[in-house]
Amino acid sequence: MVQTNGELVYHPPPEKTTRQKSTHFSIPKHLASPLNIWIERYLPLFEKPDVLSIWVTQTGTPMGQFKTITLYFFFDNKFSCKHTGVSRVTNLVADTVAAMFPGRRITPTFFRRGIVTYLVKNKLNHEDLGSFDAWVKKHAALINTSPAVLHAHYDRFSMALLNSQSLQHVNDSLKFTPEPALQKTMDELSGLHNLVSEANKAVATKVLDHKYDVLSRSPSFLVLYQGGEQKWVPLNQMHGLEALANEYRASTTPTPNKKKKKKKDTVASKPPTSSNQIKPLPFLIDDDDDFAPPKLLKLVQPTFTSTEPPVTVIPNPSLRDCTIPPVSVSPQPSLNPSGHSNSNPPVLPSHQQNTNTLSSSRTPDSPMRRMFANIFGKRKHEDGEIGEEEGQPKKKICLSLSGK
Amino acid sequence: MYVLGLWLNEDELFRLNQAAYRRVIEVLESDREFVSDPSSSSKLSGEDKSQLMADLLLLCFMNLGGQRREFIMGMTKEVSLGHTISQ
Repeated sequence: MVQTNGELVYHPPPEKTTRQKSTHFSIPKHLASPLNIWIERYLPLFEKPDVLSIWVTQTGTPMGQFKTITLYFFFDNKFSCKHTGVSRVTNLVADTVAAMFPGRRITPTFFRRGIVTYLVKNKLNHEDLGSFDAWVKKHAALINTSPAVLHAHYDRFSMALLNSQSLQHVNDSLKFTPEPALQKTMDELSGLHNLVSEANKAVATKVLDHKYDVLSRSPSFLVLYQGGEQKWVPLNQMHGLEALANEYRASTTPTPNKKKKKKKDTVASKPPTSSNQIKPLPFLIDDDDDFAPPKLLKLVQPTFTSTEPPVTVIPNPSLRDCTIPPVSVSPQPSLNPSGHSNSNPPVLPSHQQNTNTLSSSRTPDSPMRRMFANIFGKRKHEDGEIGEEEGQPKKKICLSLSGK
Repeated sequence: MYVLGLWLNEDELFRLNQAAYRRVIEVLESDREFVSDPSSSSKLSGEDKSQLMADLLLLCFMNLGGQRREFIMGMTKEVSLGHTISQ
């Protein structure tokens, strides 16, 4: 539970985060004030070191649950059972309610059911929710799914604000929100408390690192606080630190432009070291799919002899049976490695231009030329069948990578 | 539940919430000096502190829209050094 931007929020476990579509939910202000005073002032009087529980016994141990032990007794051949262990929390709540309503044992479960019951009874059944339901059904049909799947998997809208408003609506409906006079007194107390708390609050200054916990499937960030303290903070507890996290991501993630340029440089910045040494295009990059990994061309060093092993090429379905436009001898247009026509080739230094485009690799020993010759099974490259000279008719080549 | 008397009517729920909240304010008001100045010592007895915690716990159950598992039980089963504390 963290106080952020004057708001007390609770970070549920990751699985609840997914279901509630929010990294946190807000605690109503009228409840946050006394709760915060309890946590920061009175809880330290009870708690033990390393115990993080908010509700504790007088000895400082967490007020969890007893394990329920069921004992069985046989009386006069009749079967009965008795629960000897019940939750401390349940007992505490039940006793507190019983002090006001003697004889009634109201356990925490009641509030989960009772609140919904009275909301349905008094409020929600008068509101028209049909129009939204109808829209959800229609839109789910439109995108070929169901309303349940749409809500569970497609709607990623953060519900943090709506959850807070919904909760306020619940409390207002049931008149749980205190009267103005009471609230004023509480605000006064809270203001005094906040003055001291704000002065002692650790201020996060930077996100230094991140890691991913495989078990919880949750990333964490290493946050640097003023004073030099560093602390790993799980993603679902980064409420209020989003700007720092974004700043960290921006500084550690390469921009798309840089990345794209790097890819092109990878292709263009490897001129052959000699006429006999082939430095083929290392990758086939699908420009239409940002997520497709580049496909490595496994080229065997060609020797151009009759005993030369066949060139091994990883088949690319997108290139299967496609027709390569005639290889042009003019500088424009050029073919990039993926086989797409590149009407605007990158401007390269003059010493690199001959190695970047097929159209410019027209010398007999050009590595590009040799690679193409191997792919097409054209061993007669020395005879100049493929775009040998300017002015010759350009041949249309059908590229088939079926392995035959 | 109505038949067994294990239920609170809506007006009773409202009265219970108001009474618990009022008690919390009264207790904190009586210990105003400690709330505003943590260097001073609290005037509350152990029983008062226990009552304060009980009222706050009750208010959490009533004022969080029934989010029992996500909030209340989460805090009662908090972890210590990354491990659940067994009772």
